[in-house]
Amino acid sequence: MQRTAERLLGALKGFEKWVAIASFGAVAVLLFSDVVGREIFGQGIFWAQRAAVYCATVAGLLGFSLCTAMGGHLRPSSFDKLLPTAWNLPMNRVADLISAGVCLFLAIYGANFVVNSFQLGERGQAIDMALWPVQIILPYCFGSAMLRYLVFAAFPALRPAEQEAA
Amino acid sequence: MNAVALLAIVLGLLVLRQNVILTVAVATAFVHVAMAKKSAVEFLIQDMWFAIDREVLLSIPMFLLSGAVMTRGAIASRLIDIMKVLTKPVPGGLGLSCVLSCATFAAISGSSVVTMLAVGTIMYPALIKAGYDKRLSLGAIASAGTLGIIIPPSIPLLLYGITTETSVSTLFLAGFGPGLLLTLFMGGWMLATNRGGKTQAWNGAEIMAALRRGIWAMLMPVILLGGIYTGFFTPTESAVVALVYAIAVESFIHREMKPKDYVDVTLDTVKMLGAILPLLAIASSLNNILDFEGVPKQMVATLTQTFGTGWGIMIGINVLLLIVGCLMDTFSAILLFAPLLLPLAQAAGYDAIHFGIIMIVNLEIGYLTPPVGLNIIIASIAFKVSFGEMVKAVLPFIALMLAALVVIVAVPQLSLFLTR
Repeated sequence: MQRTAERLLGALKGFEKWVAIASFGAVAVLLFSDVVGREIFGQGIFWAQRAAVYCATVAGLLGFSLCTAMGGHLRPSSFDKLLPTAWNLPMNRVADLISAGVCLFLAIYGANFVVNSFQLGERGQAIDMALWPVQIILPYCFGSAMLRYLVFAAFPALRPAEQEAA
Repeated sequence: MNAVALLAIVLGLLVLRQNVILTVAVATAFVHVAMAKKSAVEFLIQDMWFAIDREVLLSIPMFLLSGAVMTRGAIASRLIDIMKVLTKPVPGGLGLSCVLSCATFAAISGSSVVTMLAVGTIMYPALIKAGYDKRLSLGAIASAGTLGIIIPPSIPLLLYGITTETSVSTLFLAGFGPGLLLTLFMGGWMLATNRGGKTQAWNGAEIMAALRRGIWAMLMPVILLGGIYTGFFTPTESAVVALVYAIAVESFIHREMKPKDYVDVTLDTVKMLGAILPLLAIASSLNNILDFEGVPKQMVATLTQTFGTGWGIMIGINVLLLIVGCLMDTFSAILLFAPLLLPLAQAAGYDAIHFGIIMIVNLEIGYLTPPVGLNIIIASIAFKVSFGEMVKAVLPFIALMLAALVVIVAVPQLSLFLTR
């Protein structure tokens, strides 16, 4: 069971990592093309910044999931000393369950937001396209983080060491 | 009553080991539901989307990535080589070159930790080898690293500009004077504490060789800041130009980075962005609802009644920011406190640009103060010294920075002379 969960998280991380890196690359290419177009060829790409915003949003929110996967979130750890060290393992499991609950809450509200956007037919500025396919990253990132926290609570061995705890 | 409940929720979540993003998210949802009139959780999600759906935010990931590329590549080491050969005839020259290297690297990087690590990993062994006191060396590296967030370009100044709708390019200009003052104070301290140090004569051939090797790195601040102030590109576009320039120099001139290094630095940057962007979005919703409820106005009224004079308020704000800097990371502190404190500062007669600089210098000191001083935490890991040793090492530098802060608060022209 633990090995299946580990494989699932590994595949999820691999997928999110490459989509995030590709989106990040796209931001740089779009913005630089706009500057070069304007300064060298006399005409920028009018939709480039908007497209770059969407790509950066995807990269940044996938970054939230990847931070969860790699223990990269900022967390003041000074409060940990309030409890005995022996409580670390059960406290971490409780913490992961609470984090999963908060992420589920945000994912549900995020999904409602996307459904409303779909029903209202919201469209982007500068790029005439439906917004919901981009907005879907909002519930996705919280849903993906929720899944991870649940797995960490169930299998503490899979929980990453925190990198940025302060 | 609700305020007490809010405080209990925040403290409870921190004790229950929740990260900053989820803690702020729950607190903001509570404010929307229990404390605000005519609001609901739906507004939190809406505000989050509108906060991140803005072009001006694009500069943050690009500056983060260009800083990461420059650190992994050879740009940082070549800048340091130039500073080393130029300061050889000065007693304590290597210590001075450490501060100057941080100041120069700060002009191409917008981050404190990036600046400290980029310069520190090269300078720390060199300072120890040259016989510099270990504690002084550690203090200089950790403290001069903080110049990264005051000398433009600066990610915290960008965030302040975005959060308070203040001109980012004017904020960048305003950062020069205080950045130079802090460099002067720290550099002066390094010279004063190493008066009897060995010196070497300038060697023309060595200087020329260092300049030749480092010319591409030296051109970077010229392109970056020159581009912004000649109107070729906006601060947002300057970030992508910096990134493309750094990649081009590292790939085709220095040739020290492999394709895998680019993947690694991008992934690191995505992670960093993942820790900042959702927080920025949620904090933006909190600011919106507090503003809608008239909280900043109430704060201004209460504090002006209590303190009366402009100086009283400004001293209170500085003390608050120094405490906040001890307890919170810079990004969260700016997002949560800048919109709340700016009206107070303006009521006390302070300019929004000048106040931005004051806020960033306060939070810059926070990088060196326990328990969450990021520079001392990361330096203790990177240089393998105890946290307590790092705290002792930065103490004289904190005193210097506090003295500089007093000057920066008292002399607005220091920040504003380039902006007028």
